[in-house]
Amino acid sequence: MAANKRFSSIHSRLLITSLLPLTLLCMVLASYMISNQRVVLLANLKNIGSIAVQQVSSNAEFALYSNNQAMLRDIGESVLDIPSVKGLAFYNLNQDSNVTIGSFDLSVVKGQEEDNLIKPFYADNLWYFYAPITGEDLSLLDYDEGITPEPEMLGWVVVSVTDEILMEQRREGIFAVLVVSTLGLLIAAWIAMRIGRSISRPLENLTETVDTMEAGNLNLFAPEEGPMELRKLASGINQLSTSVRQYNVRMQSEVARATAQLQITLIELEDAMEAQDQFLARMSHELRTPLTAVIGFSKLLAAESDARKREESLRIISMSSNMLLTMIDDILEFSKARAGGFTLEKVSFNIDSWMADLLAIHGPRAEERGLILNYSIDENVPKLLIGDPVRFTQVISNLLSNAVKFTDRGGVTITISCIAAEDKNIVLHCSVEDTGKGIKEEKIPVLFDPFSQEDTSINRRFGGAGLGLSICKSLVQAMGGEIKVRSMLGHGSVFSFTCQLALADKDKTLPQIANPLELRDVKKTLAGVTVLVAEDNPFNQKLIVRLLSAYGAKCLTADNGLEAIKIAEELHLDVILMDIHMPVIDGITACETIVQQSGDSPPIIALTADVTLTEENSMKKAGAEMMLLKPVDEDKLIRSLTKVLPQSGGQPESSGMGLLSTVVPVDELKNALYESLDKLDDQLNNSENASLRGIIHDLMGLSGLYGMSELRELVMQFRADYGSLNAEDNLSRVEEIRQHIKGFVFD
Amino acid sequence: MKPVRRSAKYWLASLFLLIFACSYAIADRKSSILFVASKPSADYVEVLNSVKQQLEILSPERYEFNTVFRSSEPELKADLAAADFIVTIGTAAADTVFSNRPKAPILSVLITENAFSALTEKHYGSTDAAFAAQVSSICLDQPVMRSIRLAKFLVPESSGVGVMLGPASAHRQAELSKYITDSALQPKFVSINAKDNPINKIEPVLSRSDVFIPISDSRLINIATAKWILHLSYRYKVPVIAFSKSYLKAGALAAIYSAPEDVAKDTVDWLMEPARAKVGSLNKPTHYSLNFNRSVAANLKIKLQTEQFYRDRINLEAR
Repeated sequence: MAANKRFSSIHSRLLITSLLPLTLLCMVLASYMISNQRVVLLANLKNIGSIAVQQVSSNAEFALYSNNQAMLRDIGESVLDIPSVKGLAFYNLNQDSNVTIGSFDLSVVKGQEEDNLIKPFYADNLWYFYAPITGEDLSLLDYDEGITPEPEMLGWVVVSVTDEILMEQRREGIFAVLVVSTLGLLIAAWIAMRIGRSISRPLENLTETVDTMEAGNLNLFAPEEGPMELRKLASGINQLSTSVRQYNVRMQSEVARATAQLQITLIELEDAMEAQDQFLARMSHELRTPLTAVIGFSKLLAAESDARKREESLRIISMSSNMLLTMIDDILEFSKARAGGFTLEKVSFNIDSWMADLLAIHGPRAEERGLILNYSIDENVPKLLIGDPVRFTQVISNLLSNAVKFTDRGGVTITISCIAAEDKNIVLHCSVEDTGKGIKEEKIPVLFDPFSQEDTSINRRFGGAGLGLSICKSLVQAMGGEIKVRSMLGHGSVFSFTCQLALADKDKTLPQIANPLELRDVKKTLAGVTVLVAEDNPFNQKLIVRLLSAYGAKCLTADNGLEAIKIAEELHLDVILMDIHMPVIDGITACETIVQQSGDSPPIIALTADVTLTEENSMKKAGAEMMLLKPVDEDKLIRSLTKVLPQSGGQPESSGMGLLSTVVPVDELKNALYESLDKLDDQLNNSENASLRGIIHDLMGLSGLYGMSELRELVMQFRADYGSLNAEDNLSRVEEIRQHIKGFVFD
Repeated sequence: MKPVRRSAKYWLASLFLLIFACSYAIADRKSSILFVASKPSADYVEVLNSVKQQLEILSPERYEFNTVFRSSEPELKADLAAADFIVTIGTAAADTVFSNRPKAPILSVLITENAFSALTEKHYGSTDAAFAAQVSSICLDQPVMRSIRLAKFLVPESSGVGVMLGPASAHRQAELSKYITDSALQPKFVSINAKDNPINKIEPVLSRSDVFIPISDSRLINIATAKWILHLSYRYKVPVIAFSKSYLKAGALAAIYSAPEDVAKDTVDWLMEPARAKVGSLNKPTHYSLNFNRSVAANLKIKLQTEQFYRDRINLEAR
């Protein structure tokens, strides 16, 4: 492991990579050089021997021919000067050695065959070289035509050459080769180490820099040193580091921005959550408050035998139920607005008529609070317009309701003007100005946000879900306008909005929506109309049956979709009220089946508490003419019925007494009113004013609940005046009210 | 009788005209010279061409030439039979021609005296018989006297002159001795036989001589001794005056020899005297060449004059 680790560095590997082949190369070269040197030295030795023996043989011709031993000795000694030559011997043709010079072992040559002598041979650490000595004749005749005779063999000479010098030279050669190889290896190792270090050190530096960068310090710069590739690598790392650094800066900036945004969003979310929590709390409170009243008074109603108290309980239950319904309607409206589900009608309407009704609704409340309600409409505002009067007046009604609600003294002024007109399109500017407590400036921007009220105390004081202004804003936007608010704390507020409407062509009559208030004056009936009420909830079923029966309709009931289908199949029906969510077969399927099984199926009006557009669309796709939301509004229901019944010939007759007027016997109502008036008389006669205001309030509630507006105005007038009138006048005013009740009831 | 006379006169006149015509024809006929050379080497061709050219110059239209080199015998025989004169160039050519014993006179050139003698004995029985058969020769052997005179001029301080004789030249020792002595020099003769050790025989003489003159002998003796003479000459610093150009090149100080142009001149001289062909003879060359090995002279520290200088001296001495 240690060895592996030791040789895992690039420096070690470079050294190994360069030194290993170099060492092998040195060894091979040294071996080759030593071997080659041996061959060369041996060749040199042989060459020396050959030259010496040739020299002797060529020079010895004369001496041997003349048998001049002194000359032979001279010739022989001349080659003994050559260091390697140890001795030589001359032989004559008889193989007798004439002359031996130096140290020469004749026995060695004697033992050799003559053929072996031709080549040099080695014996006893000596090389022996042989050469014949011949006498070559010269033809020195100018015109010689004869054949030149063969050279005459005179004898031979053998030279012995020692290999000591060769061995010495070889040893020196080996030493030199080894020294040179070692030196070469050392130099190569030194160069390899230098080169390796020049590569590894920058790499180590780079690695260290990268490690540091990896640890998070991107401010370092890798030194651009070493070979070109490493410089490029370092440059690349530096560029990368710079990029990462810049990226980090950008990222930090982005994160900071995102964090800030997130914090803002979080705050907004928290605000929204808080608003929603507050809304839920308010809703809980707002829903529970009337529910508590409904539940409580319902129990009291069951236990109460006194007719007057029962009427009082019923009135309170009715009011609480209306409050609940209003609140739920607001929520539904808001839900629709959020889902973009507003569908604006495009019908002609008389703005004066609708505004008069609106003022009539809110007038009593304003009066009740001692406020003056002013209304002005510019002359340039056309009377007949095309648009959605319900939504238009809904916005004004909401603003007006708020204005009345938040104004303790002074008044509320409604102004409508036309600020732009082009062709048949106009833009109306409507404002509702009050002299109320005003709105804090910082609350104004969130005033139109859902679930927001200026403060929670408002809810507690004035009620409401905080959705009204949000719904208004959505409605105004849907009508192509915008809503604004201008307020001064302690002085009042001005809510204004614009909306786009169209001018109605006087020659053409577009479908008009009847003012619901007008219905009360229309005496119509559903007499002779057979209605199937398909509703699984028995209470709702009973309520609807009683309501329609009051209009003269003949009602059949079905507890589920299957029953509805069977009845529709068996009996003639003029119209079907179909609940969507029913057991066995739901309303959508039943509707679809009825439409399909009968070519001339009766019109179907769907009833549902589900406000989703999906369900509405499904129901309409199944064949329903329209859809009404629960709880069923009587006016809407009757209007819808008259709309889908072609043979009805006009608007159905309304009882003109509100919802309870259809379910509460007239005698009971009359008795309740009379009881209240009797109480008033008693109070006035006994000069007891303690419960006087409460009794007046009850009368106002009953008259309002029963839709007796004239009676209600009389009571309200009395409430305003009774403090300033004497007892007799007050009693006469009570009598006047009693007479009015008598006349109203009997008519 | 008168017609008879006229007829005789007519016949005599006709005979006269016939004889005249024949003699004219004979007198106008060119002499045919057949050149037979041993080989077509440069020296031989040079001799051949030089002879032809000189003859053409000296006697234009007189000779016609036929040249053959040693070829097949039948053709040669025809040529030999057709030739008026035969000139053999080289020993082998002489051997071939002599073996055919043609009737035409023969002149052998480029042959040593010893070779000529040997061939005539071989083919004619004796040299005289050959002479009788109109066989003549101009031998290559220059007169030894020229060498002796040259030796005297080259090495004026010399006293002893070594002379090597072989079996073929041994008989000339007395003659040579006289020449040398007449030249105020001391002759030192050494005779070599084929079985002698040349060194052992020559060295004692040569080492004691101031100048050494080998006499051309048989080929065997010449070859066997030349190397050792030159070796000893070098060893003992004794100048050698040789008889061939090859000898000179091999290490002799000087040489008097018959160059191809000398042979050609002698041949032409001989051919221009037709009478000489009627009787065979052995003739010494008249013309010669003289050359030095100046490297040897430098080693021997001998200052040389021009060749012409010595030639003039030799010629002057000869007169």
